Amino acid sequence: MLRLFARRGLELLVTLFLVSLVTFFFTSKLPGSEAAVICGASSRACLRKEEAILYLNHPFFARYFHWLGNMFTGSLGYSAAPTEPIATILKTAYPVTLELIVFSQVMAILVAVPLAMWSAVRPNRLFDRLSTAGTFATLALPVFIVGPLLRFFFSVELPIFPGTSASLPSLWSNPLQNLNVLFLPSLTIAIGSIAVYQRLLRADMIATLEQDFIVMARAKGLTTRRILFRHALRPSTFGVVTVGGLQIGSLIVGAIIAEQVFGLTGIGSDLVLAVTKADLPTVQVITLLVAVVYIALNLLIDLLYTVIDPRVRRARAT
Amino acid sequence: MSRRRRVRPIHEEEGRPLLSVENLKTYFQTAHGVVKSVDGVSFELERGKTLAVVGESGSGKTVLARSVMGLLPSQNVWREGSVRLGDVDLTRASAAELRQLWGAQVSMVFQDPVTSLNPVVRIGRQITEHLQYHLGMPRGEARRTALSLLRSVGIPEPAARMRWFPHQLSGGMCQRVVIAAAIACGPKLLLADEPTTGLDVTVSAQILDLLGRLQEERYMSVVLVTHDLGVVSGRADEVIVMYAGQVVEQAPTPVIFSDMKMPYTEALMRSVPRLTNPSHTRLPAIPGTPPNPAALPAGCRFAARCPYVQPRCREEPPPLRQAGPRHRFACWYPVGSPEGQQALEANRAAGLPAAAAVV
Repeated sequence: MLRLFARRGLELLVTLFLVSLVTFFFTSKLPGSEAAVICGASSRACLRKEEAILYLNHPFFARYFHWLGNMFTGSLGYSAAPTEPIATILKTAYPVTLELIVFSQVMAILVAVPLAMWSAVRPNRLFDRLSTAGTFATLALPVFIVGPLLRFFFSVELPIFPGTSASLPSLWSNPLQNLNVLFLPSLTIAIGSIAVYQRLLRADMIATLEQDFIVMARAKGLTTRRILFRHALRPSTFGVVTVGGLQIGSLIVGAIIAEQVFGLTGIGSDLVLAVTKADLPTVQVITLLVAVVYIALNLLIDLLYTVIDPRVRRARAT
Repeated sequence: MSRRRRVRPIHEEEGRPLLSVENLKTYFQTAHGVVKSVDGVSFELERGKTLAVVGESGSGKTVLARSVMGLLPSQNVWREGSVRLGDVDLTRASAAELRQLWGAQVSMVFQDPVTSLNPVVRIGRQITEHLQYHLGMPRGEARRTALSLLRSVGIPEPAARMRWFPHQLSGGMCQRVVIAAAIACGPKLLLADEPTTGLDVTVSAQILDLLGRLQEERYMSVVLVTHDLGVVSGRADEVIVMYAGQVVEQAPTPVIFSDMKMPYTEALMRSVPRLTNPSHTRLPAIPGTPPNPAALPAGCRFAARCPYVQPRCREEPPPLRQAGPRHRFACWYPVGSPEGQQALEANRAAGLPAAAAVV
């Protein structure tokens, strides 16, 4: 276990280094300069001053390592216009996006797991056909269609949920209001995941239910529910867990769109804003942050395998 | 915790066998037609006795065991006949009743011990779960019971092994765990479906000895399904020989070895290696393969491979005939009879390959 941790940690560092390099390289190749964004149409003196502060008159690698050093020490720098500490921007934005993604995945799992299990118990029967066809249909719906539709039907036509929310209270201070605002955006993201989880778990579960140990569990006289939850569910989750990790990328994309559609201030909408304003320091930091989260979550999922499957535990340990 | 028992009680009737199977048929609907895996099998088994079911792969012996228990797929299966365990007819029992019988009154040991244990569940849990369910044992008591079960099936250091996962054990050890799980709730009937197929010879003998010992200690009835007549002697009280879904001969174990009637039994017997044979003796195999279960021949199902075969065999299926007090067989030209001898010699003279192989 410890060796696994160490090896994964090392991989994580190497990946992060490469990601940061690539991010920095591409953003630095973009037309326009940060100094110009900050100074606008003002004097040449301002430009010269900003270029010195921003290290812009140094060669590429010097600038890169200067920036990377700052990242490590936690000084994320300042956004270009208006000039604000990026850390402050992120501090208000990240809880929204994080909650959006977590909430959406909880929803997707709560819907997909029962659907998949019941489909797998009676494959190709009516329920299975309906749920598989239904989830398949949602696969064809992109987030930028689902979001506006949900908003139109459930906050405009039927005003159950707020459509846009200027005030989003934090989960801790007003959980009800918070979840109420985030319900539709989360559902928007969840709909894409439901189909993926339902189809994977259904297929894996059908395969598991044909295993000898399920016959033995039946021969022990256990109830169907017990067999499903105690014996069949855990060995059927490897596929879902793997894809869950790979999905994080598309979830972040989904969050960007959902935040735009529902007018939430999260990492996604901040990124879009920064891109449109050519605010390169902010784009760099957010890209790096997303990469860190992606890699860290996949590391977590690797560790999760060892929890689900004892065979992996031993194979890795020796 | 409540000590609710979930066991369907079985009342044994005086003078009647524990298990009596009558005209059991199990057909599968497949893409190639109806497969008659078990086609009219009847037998009885008394409490504390062992019945061996012998036959080649595909003879229907595994399906027979599963059908007796009722452990069949939910779709495309058709079953008829009766399976009486004491006063309960298993073919009429509801799903809920079956659950209270399975694992509690009738258990099964499977062919492949490694795949019949759940890879992600600790060994202890796989024994305690149905102790808790059927007998309503509290956790601690179930644990102690599982511990003594593991000890009694010969697992060293059972306390430590309880926390192990199946992949950490060898095949033989896994089979011991499966057996411990099967006998945990004290079933009256144990169905062992080729329990030693995947194991090497010495381990296989240990497992069979273990089954024999547990059977005596617990006064269980055992149905031992095997393809190897060699494991039958000394371990079974009675033997059923199956071919293409039917019983072709049934006799007490000593009788089947000394006075077999069915040419198929004789052929099986010849393919068991013997210590008295000189070394490098060629082991005769039975020529040909069993008939396609979806397209069975009209007459005797063994006719195509039988060294004694006569025209009548191909037309008329032989009925099960009584040869002794507990000895039945299905053959028109039985081994050791004058007709049989004549038929064999005629076939040998005619150059029938199956007959030429019989020395």
